[in-house]
Parts: sequence; structure tokens; C-alpha cells
Amino acid sequence: MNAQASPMHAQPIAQPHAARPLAELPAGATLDSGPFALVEALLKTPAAILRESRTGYGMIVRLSVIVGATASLVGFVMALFSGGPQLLFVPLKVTLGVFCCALLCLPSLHVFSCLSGAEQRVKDTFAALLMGVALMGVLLVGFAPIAWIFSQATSSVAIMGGVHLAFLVISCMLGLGLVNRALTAMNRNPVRTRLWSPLFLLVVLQMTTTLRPLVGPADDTFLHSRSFFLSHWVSSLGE
Amino acid sequence: MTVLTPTALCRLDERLLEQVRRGVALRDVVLSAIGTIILGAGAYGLAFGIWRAPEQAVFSAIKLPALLLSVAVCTIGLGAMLAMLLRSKLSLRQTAVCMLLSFAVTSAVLGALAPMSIALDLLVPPSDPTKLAQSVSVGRALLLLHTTAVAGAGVTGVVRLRALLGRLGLDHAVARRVLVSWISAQFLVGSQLSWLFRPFFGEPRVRPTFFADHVLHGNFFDAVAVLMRSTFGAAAPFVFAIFAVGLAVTLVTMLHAEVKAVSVEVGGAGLAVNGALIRWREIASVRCDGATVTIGLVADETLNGVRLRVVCTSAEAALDLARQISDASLCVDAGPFRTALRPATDRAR
Repeated sequence: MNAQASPMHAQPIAQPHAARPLAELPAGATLDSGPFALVEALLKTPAAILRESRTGYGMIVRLSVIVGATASLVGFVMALFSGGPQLLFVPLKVTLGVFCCALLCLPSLHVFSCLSGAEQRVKDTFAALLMGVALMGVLLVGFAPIAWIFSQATSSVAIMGGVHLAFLVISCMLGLGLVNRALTAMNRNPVRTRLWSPLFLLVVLQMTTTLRPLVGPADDTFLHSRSFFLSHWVSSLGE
Repeated sequence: MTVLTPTALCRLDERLLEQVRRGVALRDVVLSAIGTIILGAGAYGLAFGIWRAPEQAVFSAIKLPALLLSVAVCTIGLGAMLAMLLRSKLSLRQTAVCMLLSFAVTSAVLGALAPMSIALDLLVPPSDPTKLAQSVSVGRALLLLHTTAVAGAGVTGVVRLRALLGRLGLDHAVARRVLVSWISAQFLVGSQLSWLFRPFFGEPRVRPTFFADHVLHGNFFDAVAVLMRSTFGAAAPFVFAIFAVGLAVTLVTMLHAEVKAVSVEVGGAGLAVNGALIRWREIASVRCDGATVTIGLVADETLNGVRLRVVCTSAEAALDLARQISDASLCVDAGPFRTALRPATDRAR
């Protein structure tokens, strides 16, 4: 068939699934048991997680365990750069920060998704969000060996901060993609999270500054004075 | 145990492919690949260092295979995650084998080039600290030659990896995305590890050594930044920014999931797309844009919905095709997550 230029604008022809009540998820491939089954399902068959998340709170607990475990591991690798008490503090801070980000952003995700026509319950929104955050954590664990190699060969906090930040942003984007797909799968129409995704990223970046120092030596203060993440980055680069 | 020869690895023999495809007897493939890496890269390591001194040759013969194996070890986990995420269906073990095979091909090429490079090293004027200017000049030329050889072998490895992914049955676009993601991770790790494992070639004025002095001081990108500052002066940050943006755009473009162009036939049970049947319930949306019809399929277990593009002869033909698909898909429930009864208004249409 030949391509021809046409003045016609893009027009949706069919919206066959519009305005229907929330569908029940059908039976399909079940999630395998085992410690890494959930991680594998996050990467390969997230629909299986979505199905199980509809049946109770067990999946939310399992996802939370994955989020906590991966955040602790990533925090530990971050702390290897400076060692000492940071080996204890940073995993705690990262785990706390990740859960705080998820809880802070849950209301906005639910409301924004409802604005674009979504019909799922808050619990389902939370499951979708946890899936995204868990995927983010799993990917950060994948990046951890690379980050460790860099941490052993530099003493620059700015360079290590940049490396961790780059990995965080890449993981975050992929995690947010999964949140979007999970919400869309729960509904008939695609759920738009393009407005919400930058907000989540903003909260994550601000959290890295609020819980500082995540990279670099420990100091006596657990929570520092308030600072915007951009101004903190600029001052860190100037040091 | 069945040992696969370096030539069998380079050819990607059907038996080898079958082992990787089925995920059976992968241990033999892994051991054969590691053996090829040790021999091939080790041989080229000798070529790298022999011009400076025999000790440097021995050091480099140990370090070059160690570098390739370290890069593989550091990137296998991330590579497997990215492969799964990009819908390749490769397992962790298959990912490990694919990466090791790529390095094995690179090493086999390096091993094949090693005799020639060693001969060349031994035929040019030797490294002599008393004739520093001449030694530095010869050294630079040899270093350029070795770098070209390693780059060429690396490209060969990547090309074979691309062929391997294709012959394992990966979709063309998926194979490209997996390849780009793996190479990006390997470049990042490889650049830093090669910095840590330096020197490979050695310098005429520096005694042969296994690791450089202050090996953990600074990193590859620090060194690149210093070189950029000395080359571009005050414009270095702008040059870096242009390079970084260009790289990011290239990566995003190459990793982006493209819309597949297909030819379709409308049937009773669904659409025949390139010979395969897509049932009406598997169609989530239809859009018409001029003479192009974009068909969105419902999400599968990965929660990804594939989009197909059909280019028609005219805008009218496209509109007609879109309406046919639309009307047919409205008559059935659609999608694995969309089993609720259709409202009366939809059914009436």
C-alpha cells in the first residue's frame, strides 16, 4: 500500500472500552512462589502481580518487603563510598525516604488518575504505585555494582552524587512507566500520569536533599535545615 | 562436558544456538566462552605489553581477560533485568551466556590478531628510556594500532551479539533495544574498569607495573574532563553539554518502542496481520491519521500494548479500514482485563 499525504487530522475511530465499570481481572498465569519470583514477575509478567493484588493485602505486603529490601541494599552500596556510621544511617534513610515518597504521592496519583477516568480503588492505586517503586528498587540494585566500582575510584562527592542521581532518574522513569501501564490495565481507557510523573520525580529528588548526606561522610545531624534540591546541588558542585 | 571451540562460538553453530535457546547445557557454553576469553584476550594482552617489556606483557596477558570477565560479571545482573523489561524473554542464565559469547567472539578476534601484533611489536625499534623521544613516537603509533584492533574486535563482538539475539528469535526492535541497553551498561563499566586495570601498554619512562600508582585515585571520566579542558579550554562545559545531550537523544531514540508497520487483511474472526490472526477482542483502539491507520492492541502479561501501523493507498481507504475494525471490535469484549459486560449504549452501536 502506498503512503499518501492527507490533510486529515488524527481522529480516534474507536473507543470500544469507554465508560464501563471496573472490570474484574480474569484468571491467568499465577505467580510462582520463591524469593525471586516476585522480582522476576515485576520484570517479565507484572500482570500476574496485578491479578494477585486484587485478592487481598498479601501482595501489598510482599511488594513492601521488596521495596524495603532493595532500598536498604541500595543505601548500603551508597554508604560504602564513605563507610563508618553511614553504613547504618544511609540504608535507614533511603528506606524511610522511599516509603515517604510513595505515601506522599499516593493521594495525588489516585486523584489525578480519577481525573483521567480511572475507576480503581485506593488500594489498587497503592498496589500500582508500589509495583513502580519496587521496580525502581530492583533496577537500582542492578545498577549497584556499577555505582560501587565508581565509588571505589573517586573521592568526589559531586561525581558520586551525579552517578547515583543518573541511576535514580533512569530507574524512576522505568518505574513510573510501570505505574502508568498498571493503572491503564485496571481501566478501560488509558490513564494519563504525565502530569503526576514529574511531581513524583520532584518529590524523590527533594527527598535525597532532605535526608542528606546520603553520599559523603556522616555528621551529627539526622535532619538538616531545609534546602531546595537545586540550590543544594549548586552548593555541592561549588565545594 | 562438551567443549565448544572458538571457531564454533564465532560461527554461532546451530547446536550452540539450540543450547542457548532451550537453556540446556549452558555450563558447557559458559566454560567454553570463558576459556576463549582467557586464551584470546590473554594472547592480545601479550601483544599489548611485549613492546615495553616481557613483565608488562605478562601483566597485560592477565589483565585483559580479567577486564573482560569483570565487565561481564558487573553487567550480567543489570543486563538480565533490562532484557526482561524490554520484553526479550531471555532468562538470567541466557543473558549471561549471550554476553559471554559476545566477549568470546571479541577475544577470538583479538587472539587471531595477536601473532601479527606481537610480530609488529618485536620488529619496530624497542622501548628505550635513553632514546625517549623516539620511543614515545613509536609507542604512540603502536598504541593507536592496538586501540584500533581492540575497537575492531569489539565491533565484531557486538555484530555477532546482534546476530545471536536475532537467531534466538527476538523481534528486530526488541533485539535492537536490548543490544543498545547492554552496550551502554558495558561501556559505562568497561571505561571505568579499564581505567582501574591500567596500564596495559606501558610507557617508556615508567617501569613495568601490574597496577598504576594511586590506582584508586581519580576515574575515567575525571581523566576525560581533564583532557576536554586542555583541548577545548573555556568551551569545555559547552562541548560536554552538547555531547551529553546528543548521547541522551540517541539513546532515547534507539530505546524507544517504535510502531510496527504491517499489512493487514480483515477477516471474520479478526485481523490477519502479516499472516498471523489478531482476534477482535485483542484490539484496544483504532486511530486514523490521513492514510495511516494505527491499531493499538490490548496489553499482554507485560502490561505493554503493541501498536501497529497500516499505510493505506488513500485517506478514504484508511477511514474505511478503521471503521471496519472499529465496528468488528465493538461486537466483542476486549482484552484480558476487560471482561465486564459492555453497556447497552456500546452494544447498540
